[in-house]
Amino acid sequence: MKAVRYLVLAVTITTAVAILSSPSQAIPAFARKYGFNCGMCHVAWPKLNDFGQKFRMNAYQIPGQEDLEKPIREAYPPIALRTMAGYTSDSFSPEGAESEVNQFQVNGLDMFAGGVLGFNKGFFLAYKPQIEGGSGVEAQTGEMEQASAMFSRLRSTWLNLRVGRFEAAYVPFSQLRSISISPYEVYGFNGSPELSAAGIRGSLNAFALADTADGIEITGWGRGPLQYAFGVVDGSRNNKLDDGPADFYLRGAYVIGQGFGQTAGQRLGATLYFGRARALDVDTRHSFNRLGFDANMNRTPYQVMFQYIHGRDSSAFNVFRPDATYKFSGGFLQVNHFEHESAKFLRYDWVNTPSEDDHDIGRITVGLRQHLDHGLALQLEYSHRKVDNGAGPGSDLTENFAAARLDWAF
Amino acid sequence: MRLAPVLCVALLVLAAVMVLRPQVTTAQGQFANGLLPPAPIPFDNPQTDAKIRLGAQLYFDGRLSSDGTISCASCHGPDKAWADTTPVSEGVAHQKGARNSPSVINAAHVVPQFWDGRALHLEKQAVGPVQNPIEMDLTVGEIEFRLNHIPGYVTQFEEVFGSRPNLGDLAKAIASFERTVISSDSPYDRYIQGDRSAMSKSAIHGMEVFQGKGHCNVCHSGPAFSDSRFHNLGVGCENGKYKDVGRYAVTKDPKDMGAFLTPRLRAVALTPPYLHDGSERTLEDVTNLYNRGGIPNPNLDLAMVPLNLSPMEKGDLVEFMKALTGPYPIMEPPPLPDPEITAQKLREMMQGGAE
Repeated sequence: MKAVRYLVLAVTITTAVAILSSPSQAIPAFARKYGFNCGMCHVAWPKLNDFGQKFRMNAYQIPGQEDLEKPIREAYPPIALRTMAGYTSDSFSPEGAESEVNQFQVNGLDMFAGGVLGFNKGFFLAYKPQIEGGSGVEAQTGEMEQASAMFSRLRSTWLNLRVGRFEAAYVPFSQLRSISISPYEVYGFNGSPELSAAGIRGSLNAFALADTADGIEITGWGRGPLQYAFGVVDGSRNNKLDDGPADFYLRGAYVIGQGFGQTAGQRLGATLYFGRARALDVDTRHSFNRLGFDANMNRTPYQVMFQYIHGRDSSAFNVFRPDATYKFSGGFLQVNHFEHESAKFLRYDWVNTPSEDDHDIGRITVGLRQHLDHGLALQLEYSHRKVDNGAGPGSDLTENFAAARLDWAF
Repeated sequence: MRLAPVLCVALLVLAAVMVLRPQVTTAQGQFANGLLPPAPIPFDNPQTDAKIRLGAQLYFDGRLSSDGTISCASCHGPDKAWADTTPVSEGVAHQKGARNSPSVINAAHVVPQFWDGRALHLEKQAVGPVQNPIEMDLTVGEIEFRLNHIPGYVTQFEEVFGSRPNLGDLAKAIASFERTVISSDSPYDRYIQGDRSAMSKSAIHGMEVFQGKGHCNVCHSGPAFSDSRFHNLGVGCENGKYKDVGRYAVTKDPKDMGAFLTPRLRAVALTPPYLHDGSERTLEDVTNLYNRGGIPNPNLDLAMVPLNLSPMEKGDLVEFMKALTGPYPIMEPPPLPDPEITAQKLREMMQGGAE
């Protein structure tokens, strides 16, 4: 019977892919403004291509055409919406560990606005309205996910400034513009308590790379192979109450071959994040850091993304061994295949926690994203996640996630 | 997974597939293309039939070159889609220029003129090649002497301009004629006006590539498919040295080093070879150059990035460019006034001190 179900899905997917081959759309606010379609900035929306990444880093202006840009008062209202709806199956073992989902769902709503305020001055907003969960509707916490103003080319492309709330450059592979629904585990990882059957983790530090950050970021790029970023932020939103100002990060990247390193050229990068946050002794802030190495290899139509991160939290955060720093490492390896409005991907995520914690995470994800038309994509994804429970065989928490959703923006 | 939900998903997806059809709409943004409007006419050079006829004669008249062998039509011939078929054209005494001869088709729709934009309008452009020592090799004095010693031209200039022949009016006449060399009503034009059968499926997809993944219309924007700006593709640059400095020769601004005017794309399929030096033989070659992201150099245009186009996408893009070809004027050289007065005779007359 199981084989029949998979056969039905396989036939559906194959049929859809075979029949559909048509254009798609980017953040429609930008697309409407320029008369472009999604492929201008996205290799498979929402994932940016080289041109799109340059556009984003250039304060949402076409590189080299800044003097032609129409500011928001002259262009289309720069507002766009995006949502997903479809069937989601999310099951857990042992059963009852989490709430299972087997239903048609509407999955969230994103509201975007972005554009040019003036010459070399851009902005971007992403707001998620609060949505109460219910039958057929996935709950969503209301939040201002991004709100940043950007000043580009303060002297040249080597000096650009972004202020506000943004996805910081210490995340070399954007979580927000990922082509998968399943998150990058290592970006979302923090050692703080995870309310699950896997029990409590061993660090009180709630910092997570995946969160958008509040602060200032300086970036630079040019025609050569080097790119850099430096930022001062408040920490991630998860630990904002416990953190304070003046976390900072540095990132450098080198691109081998022609391209910007996003979807062309071979990009090697390193990132260092220094932060301070409060643990149980609320009067003192304790240090933590993240050191990351990443590689983004492109050979059309394939792309290989590799991320490794080593995390170190001060011993004050360590639940199990207050005399030792809490160290973890993790990363992911993802292979993408982009062709004719479709993106196929396969990813392995892992996080290794300290032995006394022993809540290692492993996740394998496979998916297909087929663009059906302007602003419309079909997402088919399966992900298997396992979290060690440290209590021997059979005690691990496993999750099987499958989704068939339509993703549209307008 | 239960079977019922899976079947529902399958039905939903298939229903979506059956209902949804690719809908290609005309881009309306600031970089969008569109239908070709009437060519702009300068206030000080209105079009008249007589002036256009005079301009046509001048355009085809080899006596406007030092040895009588080269006319405007030699490098911009109507039988060659108003361009030339060689990378660079031959001027007088078989001298070769450094740049490819662009087509006159729709030249009226773009300012400035020349690959480096050194002439703002056609009136300024028209007097350039006549005085270029490699192309037609006459001085202003020689031009005006010759025109004033061809009675048929004297009569026509007086009728059209009310004065004897001079360089300024020569330019106006040729420019007026060139403004009649227009091409529109291409399959693309018919397509965006609603005739969905005007372009092939491949060309339609190519248009999507043009406006998307290929980001061609960042520069090839507007109805003439040119932004009238200058961009560096790295063509002609080796080891950081430019064979041709391009726009820099006009502005002396280092950022313009190696930058050239965005060429118009209407009827582009008819005018190989391509680029300012004619270094690319076919549209496929040009597409491959862009797909590689141009040629690295210190001044490479910031919009140039590798495109990762598949072979099919490249082919579709070429098909779209072919669909930009509409009918254009084809004409035989008009009868010239006083053909017995050759360039040789005119030279001898000038050397002999004729007035």
